[in-house]
Amino acid sequence: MTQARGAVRAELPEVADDLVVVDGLARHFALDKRANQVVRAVDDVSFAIRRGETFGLVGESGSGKSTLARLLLRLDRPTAGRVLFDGIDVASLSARELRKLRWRMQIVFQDPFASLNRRRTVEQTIELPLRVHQPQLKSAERAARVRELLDLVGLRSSHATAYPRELSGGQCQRVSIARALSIRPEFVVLDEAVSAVDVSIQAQILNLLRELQGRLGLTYLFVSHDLSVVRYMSNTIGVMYHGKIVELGSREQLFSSPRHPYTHGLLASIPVPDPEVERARERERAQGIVRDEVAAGAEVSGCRFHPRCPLGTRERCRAVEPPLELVEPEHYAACHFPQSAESLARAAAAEATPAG
Amino acid sequence: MNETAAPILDVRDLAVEFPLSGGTIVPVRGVSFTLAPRQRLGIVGESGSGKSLTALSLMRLLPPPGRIGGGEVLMDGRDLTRLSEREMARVRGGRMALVYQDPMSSLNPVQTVGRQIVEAIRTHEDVSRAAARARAIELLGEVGLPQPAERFDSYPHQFSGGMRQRVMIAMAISAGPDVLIADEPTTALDVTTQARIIDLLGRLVDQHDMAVILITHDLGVAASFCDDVHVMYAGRIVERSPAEPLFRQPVHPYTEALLSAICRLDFDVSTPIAAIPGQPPLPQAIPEGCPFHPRCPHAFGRCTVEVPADTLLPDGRTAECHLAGERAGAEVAA
Repeated sequence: MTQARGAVRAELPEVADDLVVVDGLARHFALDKRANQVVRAVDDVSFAIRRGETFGLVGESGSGKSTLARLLLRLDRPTAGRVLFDGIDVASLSARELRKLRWRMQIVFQDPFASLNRRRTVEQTIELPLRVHQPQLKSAERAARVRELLDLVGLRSSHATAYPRELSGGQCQRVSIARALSIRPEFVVLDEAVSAVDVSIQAQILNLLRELQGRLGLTYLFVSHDLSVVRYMSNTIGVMYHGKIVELGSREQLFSSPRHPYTHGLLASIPVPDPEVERARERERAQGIVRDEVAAGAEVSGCRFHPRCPLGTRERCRAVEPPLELVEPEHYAACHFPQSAESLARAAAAEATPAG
Repeated sequence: MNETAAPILDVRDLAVEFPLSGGTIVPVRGVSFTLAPRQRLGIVGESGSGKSLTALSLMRLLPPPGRIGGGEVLMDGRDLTRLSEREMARVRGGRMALVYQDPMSSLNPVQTVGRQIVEAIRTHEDVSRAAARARAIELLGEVGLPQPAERFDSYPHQFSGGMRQRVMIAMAISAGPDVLIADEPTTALDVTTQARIIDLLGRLVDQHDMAVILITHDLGVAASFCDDVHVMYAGRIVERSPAEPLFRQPVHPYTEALLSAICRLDFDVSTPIAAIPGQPPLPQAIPEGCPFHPRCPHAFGRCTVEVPADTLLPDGRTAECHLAGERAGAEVAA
């Protein structure tokens, strides 16, 4: 693994351009201490997020993407590795220094209703971070900031006195965004921020987030299970599977020339709102691009994707864990046999035939 | 739309109402449709559109204080809304079965999955335990559960979400229903699992000659599965169409707006997505006239005062829009 990390470092040097650098980050949870059973929720993950850009983290449930997001904000401590925020090792900070750093980073969660206090008005919710982090502000200044923030996220000033129950899901998510932006952070983690809202509202929120990024120069970590949304939002994308990044590259690379069988599987699985396209894809899926998830929790030897991979019966895949290696400049895949979807389908068909 | 065969289900002017302290709200109003044998019908809409309440009312499983406020649900000439609870229990799971969104909450956590399927079989069929067990194992194999005989004595928590949904589907088809209602069957699942469950459903309904009503918010899922799609908005079906033309040339402005609001995999990332302005209305505050008019880019004076009639178009599609004829005509000409 050190090999790949070295490669990542060589390609993505810690220049001033990177706001966040994640280096060999791991978070293991002990299941049974005596039996020495651990869940590797995040396992040796390295990447960098450039200032003003969006890093998209895509993965299915249990991939470790939310745990990784929490580690970045130091809402949780890593088992190994480090997170550098603007060159500062966040693990080394005292409580006081950490509080200062928290000004600069914020998070927006998935469920807008659950993440708002239902006893607080919109105004009280948005001004709370200001009261904590900027106690010197006068109440008139705070009120002005709240109005400015409401306007910024597309809410009316009349919404200031409303309670969450009087708002729709989309409006609540706008309040969560206004709250996150109230102390003018540089870095915002968006953890499934549009996953719980309807299609028509999702489009509004995605447009808003992109517009705010342009206006305020924000850097985003965009975490989602939805590959289409991640593609739309992100400059660079990491695909996570069982705690590891299995493919990493620019948006163009990942979508026009994906190389990891899991990325191929994800792409083949997204339903397309076009019946004709879907009929063709059903056949593609029937060729077995991805198998069912095995029961959760089981430790897998070799490549952690091999039980679901069409090439997973190969000896090397079952025995040796593939490191994240360069497949083209700035594009990495953790696979012993990285290849295009077409060649993967051919290889899988060839493999299936002689075995019967 | 399959008009030739006699419908297996004929829903006429169905309404669902909830008497609440502030007054009665009517989240489903005047819903009519038919389901032909073997038809795969999709009912799509956003949250609050009334699609799930429509499904639950067909099964007479509305959450209290919800109740059917009017209309008929005809199956073999019988109106299901008028059956006694006892008669309805025979229909439920027998001729008409339901697959829910969340398999965990619909399976009993302290009973083995095998036992639950055996019970489902024996509720509707007078067979011995041994025969029911053999049938259950056969069903588990049919829904793609690996090693069904060994898995028979497992508990739901030992299964992944996708496997649990496979168990639910096995249970739903156990009595050989004519109609399967699937209410967001894949929404709680990961995308790779979702695709496989939808493909499985497709194979099963073909093999067992079932008709399906698929309730979903995901137009992609509807496109992958359905022959016909009905679009719901604010408690009404606003457009009915075979799937193909609906996705190519939507007639109702809401359908059109919904399709353009989807963040597609091939969408141009340099442009904003065409979001629908505003919010869907709450059932207690449905706008006058056409319920979509405050968000509609084509709305004009008449839309604010007059509820549009369900317009039947020459190709058999329908849309509740004052501009339906014009919009469909313009598209045919283009």
